[in-house]
Amino acid sequence: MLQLYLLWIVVVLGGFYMGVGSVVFQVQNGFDLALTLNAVLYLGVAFYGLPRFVSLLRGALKS
Amino acid sequence: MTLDWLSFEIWGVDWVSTGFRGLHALMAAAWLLFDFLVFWLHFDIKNPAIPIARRLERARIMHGIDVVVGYVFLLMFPTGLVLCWLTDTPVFETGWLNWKHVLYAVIVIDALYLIPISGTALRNLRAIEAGEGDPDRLNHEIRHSMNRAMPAVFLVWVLVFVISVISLLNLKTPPDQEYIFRKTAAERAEDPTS
Repeated sequence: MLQLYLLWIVVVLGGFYMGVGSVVFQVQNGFDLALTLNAVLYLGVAFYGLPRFVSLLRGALKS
Repeated sequence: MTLDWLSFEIWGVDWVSTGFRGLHALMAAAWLLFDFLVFWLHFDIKNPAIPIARRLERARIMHGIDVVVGYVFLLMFPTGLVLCWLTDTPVFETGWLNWKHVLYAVIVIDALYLIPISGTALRNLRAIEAGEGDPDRLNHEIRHSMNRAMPAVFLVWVLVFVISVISLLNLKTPPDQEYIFRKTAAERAEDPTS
């Protein structure tokens, strides 16, 4: 169960951290291919994992 | 930002940052090693000619190792970020690190594909042992799911190897320091804090 929480914490929170960070850095400093790929991939996995992470937290709060 | 309170230096070696470098590298090595063990075990697990008790035992071992691999994979990310902080490496400004993060993101996607597959073998073998369901169908499911997972597993190995090479080629040596992990005697004599 701990691994499941860790998985979604890394995927969702880590994904948003890396994705948003990559976007913000590019807004301030201009285009970078690696950062663009990072933004697309990390924000993609973060949005994919968000509903699962929320339902996991809801389940934990109910029980 | 000064990190003096975090440094624990003996004979020119900062054991905190060196320890984290070692931990991060050791985790990558363990990841590959344990993944090879899982790969080696999977041949017996998917083989219906082998007695069910032996297959089930191997599936339990494989599942246990897989849990360790999962923790290593997930903890690579936070330990990497701590390492960036300790070694004063900007997360988004460092070109080679950005490419490393791209490859790690592909591994994350790969893992999200592999996770639903990973429990099939143990679940189906337990069902076969309990006499539930059609053994041929359950065996086919095991073989099919494991064969489906193989390209993704090979991709993880390649990506971890490439990430390791990128890291090795960009190991950060502190300014004016001859060795990667420690200062020379002359540098230590010059630096009053060490």
